[in-house]
Amino acid sequence: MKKLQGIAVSPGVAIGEALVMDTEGFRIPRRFVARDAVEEELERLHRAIDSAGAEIARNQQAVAFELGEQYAAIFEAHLRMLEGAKLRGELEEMIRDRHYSPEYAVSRTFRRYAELFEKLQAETFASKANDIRDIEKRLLRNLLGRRREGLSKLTSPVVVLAHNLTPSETANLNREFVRGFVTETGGPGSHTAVVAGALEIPAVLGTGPFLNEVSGGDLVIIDGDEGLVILHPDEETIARYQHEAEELRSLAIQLEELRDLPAETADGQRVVLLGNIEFPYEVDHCVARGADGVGLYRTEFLYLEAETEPDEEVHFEAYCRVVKAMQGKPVTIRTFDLGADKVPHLPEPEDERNPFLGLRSIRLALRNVPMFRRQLRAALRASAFGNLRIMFPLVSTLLELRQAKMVLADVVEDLEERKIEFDRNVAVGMMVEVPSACMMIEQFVGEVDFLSIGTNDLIQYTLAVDRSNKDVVGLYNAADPSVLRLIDMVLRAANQRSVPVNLCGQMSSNPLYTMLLLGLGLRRFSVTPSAIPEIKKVCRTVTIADCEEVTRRVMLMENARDIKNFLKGELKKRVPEIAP
Amino acid sequence: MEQRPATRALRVGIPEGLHMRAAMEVAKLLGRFKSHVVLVKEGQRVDGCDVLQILSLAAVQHEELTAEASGDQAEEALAALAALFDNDFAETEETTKEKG
Repeated sequence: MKKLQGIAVSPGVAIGEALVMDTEGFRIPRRFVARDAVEEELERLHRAIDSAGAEIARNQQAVAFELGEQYAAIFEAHLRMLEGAKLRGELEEMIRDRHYSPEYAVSRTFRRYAELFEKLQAETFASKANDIRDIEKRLLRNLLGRRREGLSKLTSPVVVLAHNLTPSETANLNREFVRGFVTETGGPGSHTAVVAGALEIPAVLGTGPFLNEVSGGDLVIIDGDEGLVILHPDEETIARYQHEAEELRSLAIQLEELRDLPAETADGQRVVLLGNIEFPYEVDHCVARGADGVGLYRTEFLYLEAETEPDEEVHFEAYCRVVKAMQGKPVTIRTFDLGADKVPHLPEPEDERNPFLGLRSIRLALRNVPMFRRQLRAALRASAFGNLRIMFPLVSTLLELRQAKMVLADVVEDLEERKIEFDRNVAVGMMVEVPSACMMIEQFVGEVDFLSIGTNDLIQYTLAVDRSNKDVVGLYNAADPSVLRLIDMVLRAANQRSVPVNLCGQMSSNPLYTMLLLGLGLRRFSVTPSAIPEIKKVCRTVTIADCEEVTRRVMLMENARDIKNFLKGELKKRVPEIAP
Repeated sequence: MEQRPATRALRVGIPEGLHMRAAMEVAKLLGRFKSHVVLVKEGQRVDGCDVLQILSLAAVQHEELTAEASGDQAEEALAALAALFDNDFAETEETTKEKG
């Protein structure tokens, strides 16, 4: 048994057979074969070597014919390397004596040669490592045949273990069969992390290298709450996690009964529970859990998934689907919130040494007005089909907000001129996620229809901490008194002017903070759809007076650890079944 | 194979060392003889007909190898091999004609 600590990005427990993807997206199959299958596996190896050889020979002929003999020599060399007696002997020995699968034997052997050549000083030999990899891949392709497609063609439940998954690979995971996933790289701020939450499957990122210790078919446990990955678990551990998974399922069923009950406190204060979504299909998760609307619709995926900039129709179709599905309940669309480095069709930024402090989000949108207009135009057109609101992210000065509103006003004018239908009263708001916006909140509230506090960025900018940097991530804490004071400032200013304000960071999805936030005066929570039942459960259990007392005591405390411990205790007293 | 193998010292002349093309020429050439030839560099012994193994010797320019040939055509194989090294692996008319 081996435990790996990574970063927890999507909660829950998954127990299942591993599907291992190597760095190049190859699916690494089972490591061992049964004793009585050895002859069959040897036969499979020989067939694969023969057909790989035939492929190389065909390449050699084709290249010789088109370019001349001297260019085809490389393939002749490949063929001879592949057919060397020693290599075949080594592979056979691994399968026969060590019961390795042919695929595993091939990767092991070729990797050894590749490493050997890489270590050599002489340049000409080091470059041979590439030839070795080329032959390895060809052989693996022949061995794996149809099975090499990896993630796209699954037929049984698996947990996916990979070096890295791109956000779109993650988004395309087969939700029927993928029970959870782990990647060696990545962190909590990454898009892959966001998508994992959207898929509602347990996920752990950033474990560091471990793929060479596991092979396809091994039993693996993913603990998405603790960020743990357990390889080769013992009987006791399996039983413990099975029990935990069972309890989570029964809690989920129990919480499901809350679906049609209103989100209100025990003393009758109505609380608005909204969902955060990234993909149009997640709107179904919101509807299924009785959300009061979509508080945050992130639109980044439209940009990340495509090679070219999405056109107005692509935006329009996605927004329409969400707005229609919510049937008149509010849907808040957050405009473009990416850095230039993440968008392939924008020019490479020149001075981006600190991307989080650089040209991103609304700043980048205001520098690329035609692109920004396309998105706003699509959003306005979709507003004719339901209750749509537009929200600008990362606003740090009043001037920025005014500029963004001017671009929007310009688009409005254009639609009016062309007599295109849209909602003239569409609400316009902003994210409060930069400390400067908190300090100037009195001025901002006069110029917006609503506010949304984004705690993920607010915490990062307030405490000056990059949460993907493990050396400083300890400073990143939603319970830090400085962060709570900023939230308090924003809620006071907004409530005084009756400007609706919600909180949409990960903090609002964590039941630990629900009482505190209610006590601070928050009445609108925008959360991961899967968290709606838990947050509703807390709301229905507590009274506002009770929450205000908890908050009063929290605001006297001086550090995040004391606050968190106190909140844990208070939650446990009132709602023991969901306390961490 | 009771009798002692015939041996011949070889020196890598070409600047690229015993790289892919050269290794392939060696393997190709030795494949034409009945004799079994082993190449030795600093105690590491490899089959002279196996390109991958020849490459893994990583013989660079000016390094010395020993070829050990046993069985029929041992001398012929060594003579052809020496000629190949002397000609810096250019596949000349002579080496082609020497095939067994």
